[in-house]
Amino acid sequence: MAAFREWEQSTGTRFGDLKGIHQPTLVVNGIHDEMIPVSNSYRLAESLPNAVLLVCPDSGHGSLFQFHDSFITGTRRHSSRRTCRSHLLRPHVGDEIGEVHEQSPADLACRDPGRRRRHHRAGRGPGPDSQEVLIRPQLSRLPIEGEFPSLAGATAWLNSPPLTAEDLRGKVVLADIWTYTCINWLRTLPYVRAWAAKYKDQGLVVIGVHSPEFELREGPRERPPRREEGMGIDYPVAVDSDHAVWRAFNNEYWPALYLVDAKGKIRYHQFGEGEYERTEKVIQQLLIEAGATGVSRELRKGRRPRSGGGGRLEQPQVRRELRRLRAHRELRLPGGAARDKARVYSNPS
Amino acid sequence: MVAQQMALDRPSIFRRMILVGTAPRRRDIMHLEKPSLARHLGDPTLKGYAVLQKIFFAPTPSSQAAGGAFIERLAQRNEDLDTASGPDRRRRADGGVS
Repeated sequence: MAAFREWEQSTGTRFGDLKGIHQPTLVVNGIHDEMIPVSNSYRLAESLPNAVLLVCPDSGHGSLFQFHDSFITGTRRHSSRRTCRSHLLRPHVGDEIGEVHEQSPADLACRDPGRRRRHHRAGRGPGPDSQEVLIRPQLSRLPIEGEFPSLAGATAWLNSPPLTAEDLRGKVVLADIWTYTCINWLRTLPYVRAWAAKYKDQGLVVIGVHSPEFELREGPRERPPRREEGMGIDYPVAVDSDHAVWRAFNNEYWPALYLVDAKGKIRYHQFGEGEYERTEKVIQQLLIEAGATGVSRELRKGRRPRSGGGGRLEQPQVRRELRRLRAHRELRLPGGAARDKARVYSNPS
Repeated sequence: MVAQQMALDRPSIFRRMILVGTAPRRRDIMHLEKPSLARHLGDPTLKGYAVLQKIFFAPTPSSQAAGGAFIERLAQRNEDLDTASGPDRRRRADGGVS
């Protein structure tokens, strides 16, 4: 009760705290809740940057027990979005928000590239054919998004002695913040691995930063997945078990790619899957800016994930890994789940 | 309340959130003494889950019926139950986080 009363005290701007909660959030309540009136839910939904509100009729604080079907449908939809947070900023292929319309860079030119790390969306008018188009800065005018932050917080390094931002001055760096269990990262891996090999001789350094999402599931925290686990990562990986590098980048996404130019400035970022051609063009441009010669202008040909379904992966070992991860993520109920009838579930001992 | 604070303190531990029947900071939370709740909480004729049925469900026949069905479902579970709350636990909960 004391904590409840404390919660009613204001701190800072009105509902300012909520602006800092970027997770997709489902807000649920019953319209006649006497314990915590429903107006609170409206305030939450208004102030949280990415909230969906579900208000149930003819119900109170226990709305989820009364409209359990709606609640389960709502939570399932909420939890089945296909990106690790990245849909906060942009729609993804096959995501419920809309399809990314892949455009040539000229079509994606932004007249207002001034603001740092902002994405602008423009609708294409109503109707079933409307698609959201992402407007991003022209490649030739990649703004400086920030300084290459310190990598000193890494708890260990794999495939390499410890690297510092200073060591890497003069190189174009692709930093890939990832976590073993993120399916979205897994789908980007074939691209990142191919770029690491293809542009190595022109001066591209790919660094993985393994910032774990879960502490328990990812096994020994000092190691990323082994080669036999289908990952085949041979570029340097900073083991970021304390999320120090994650914080230094001020990052919020898996996967997150940051491209750093030869002067140590972050010039581009890509959160989540997709935009492979664009990212590769930025790699090429930064390498040319850095004075590299013989940079191929070819782009890696890869199948784009199909909309809907699980997407199509190019490599059998990645497909296998994905299946394994999915199976691992499923809640395993002893005796299976009983659908549409009551059953007592007990904790596996 | 707790979830919101955790999301602020350690943003990286949650991927998504579901907030049911809760409030942002600066809004009213659980004033059990307010008449609409106090009258049920103080009603000696309401035993066991009957209080819960009154305060968690709307005062309409349909919502109260759903409350009854919910309590029946609660009663079906007989394994691995939490210890019943009592005056001692209540006192501790009042002082701490509940």
